[in-house]
Amino acid sequence: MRLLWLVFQMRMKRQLAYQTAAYAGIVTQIVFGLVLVAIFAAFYPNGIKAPMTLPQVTTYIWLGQAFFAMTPYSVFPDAELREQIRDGSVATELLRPVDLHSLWMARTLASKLAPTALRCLPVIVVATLFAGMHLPPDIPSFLAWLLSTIGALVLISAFIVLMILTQFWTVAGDGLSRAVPGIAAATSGQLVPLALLPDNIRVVFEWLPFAGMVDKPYAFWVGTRPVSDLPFVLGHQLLWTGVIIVAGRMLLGRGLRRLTVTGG
Amino acid sequence: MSTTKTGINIDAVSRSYRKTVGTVFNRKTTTIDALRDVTFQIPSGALVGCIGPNGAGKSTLVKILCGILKPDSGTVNVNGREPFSQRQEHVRHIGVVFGQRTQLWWDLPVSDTFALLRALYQVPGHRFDVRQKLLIDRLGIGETLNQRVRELSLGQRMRCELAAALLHEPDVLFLDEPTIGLDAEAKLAVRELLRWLQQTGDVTTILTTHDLQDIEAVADRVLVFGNGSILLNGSLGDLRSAFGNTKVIRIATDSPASHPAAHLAKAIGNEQTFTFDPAQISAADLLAAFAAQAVIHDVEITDQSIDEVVARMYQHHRGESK
Repeated sequence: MRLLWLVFQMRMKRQLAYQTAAYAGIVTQIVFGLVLVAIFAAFYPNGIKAPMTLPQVTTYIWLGQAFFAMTPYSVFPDAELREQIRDGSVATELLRPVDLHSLWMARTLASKLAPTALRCLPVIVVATLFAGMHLPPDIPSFLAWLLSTIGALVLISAFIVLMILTQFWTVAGDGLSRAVPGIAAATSGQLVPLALLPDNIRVVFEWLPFAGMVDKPYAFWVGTRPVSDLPFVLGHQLLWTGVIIVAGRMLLGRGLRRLTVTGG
Repeated sequence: MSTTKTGINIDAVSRSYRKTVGTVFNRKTTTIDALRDVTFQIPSGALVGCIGPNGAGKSTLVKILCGILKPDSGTVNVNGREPFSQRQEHVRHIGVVFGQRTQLWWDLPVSDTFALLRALYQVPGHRFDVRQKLLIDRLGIGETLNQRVRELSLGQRMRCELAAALLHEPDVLFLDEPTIGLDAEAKLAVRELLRWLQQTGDVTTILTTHDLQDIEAVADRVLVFGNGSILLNGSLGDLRSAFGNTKVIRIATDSPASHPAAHLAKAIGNEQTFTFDPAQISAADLLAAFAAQAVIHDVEITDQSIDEVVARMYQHHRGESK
């Protein structure tokens, strides 16, 4: 836990070291948000009874921009780690007296949380003041959003560690790094809120792990999901996190055996 | 604690790699023996230099000793620990420096890496502070501590790497080419630290290098590797005498001289350099023979450099294994 805190602090410092990147990120997110909001507003059926109102969709889009750095848009946020596995220098990580999966989880959590923490507030403030974003309907909704966002962060990190681990087998990893964000964007609700999808597709997507990364927490903030759903949402996130961590540990074990027994 | 200072004991360790070459349809698997039946002991606290041509098995051995590579056969014991099967416990007590790779966080000040290492190795606070201060003073890195790693010169960085590898008070230290690319001053600083470690006496150090001056300066013993075997395990003196105690004579004369027992190595103007075997002809006799042929203005007689001794050893070994 202390290690996680330290790793996080360092990632934060590292982010702060590149201030231009942080400002650029905020500006990019705001511009993208404006464009997306305009698109949805233009196409939003006037007078038709949709599952979400336009202000709700707008808020949803702004959440997506505020927390963009957290979403699995990139499955390899930690280029260093990816490179290490690729060139085999990951062996030196074995020289540390820690459990590798936990260390990598900490690193990934930090590398997702640090840029998010820097960018989310300015985007929320600007969008709420000038661009039609709404705050959560009440305090319980906000708390439900907060808890499920933490759940989402852990789930996303576990998933990314799993993706990084596939590098033990696929040399380049470009295939995955292009395919997976697409799948994730479509099924997580990052592209279009799941509530707006046809029911038969939506039901399937709701069960996939990606919905727990984006759509489920956002729905609490927007108010399209009752707070009473919180146990189910957390359960869904926790279950997938568990499955993905177990799979990751198995993959890591096999990868390391390959590395230490066959010499990579 | 499973740590008893028994040094490093390697008994009949072998390790081979399988290498697959060719296309999907025409695959051939060849086996490369990186280590063949290697046996040796290193007493606790010794500083041993490992030399050998690239691909001779040095890195394989170091990886096995670190616990990140599993030997195919044989037993490995490092201060009472079996590195591979007890890896997590083992690595807590070892320090590693790779000259060509950094373990410091590139974008952050050196002190942040130190703080991270403290957490990783769970070193108690006050103990860490004392140790850190000692190493900082020893290596003279007080001012570099708050600089970002990427802003450091290679020499400064290597000092920090050494400190990072020693913070958790390891009982074994592995150094892989720690002086590669360093300027003279930084090299001397590294060597000085190694000598200090030797004096304090409880860190067993394995130094792999191609820089034989490092070994001459600090090592108690030398392990010479060739083709997966140990060609020599002994002192530098043993190394010299094992491969002919060749001497070098340089003379400056008014006209060229020669002698059948002296091999001309180099001639620049009137300055000639010969190598000779003192068992065949003594330096005095050789000099007398030269003096009979020409007027000698200047003479210098030296031992063959350790580089040349080792180069000859490799050549000799390659000839044998063919």
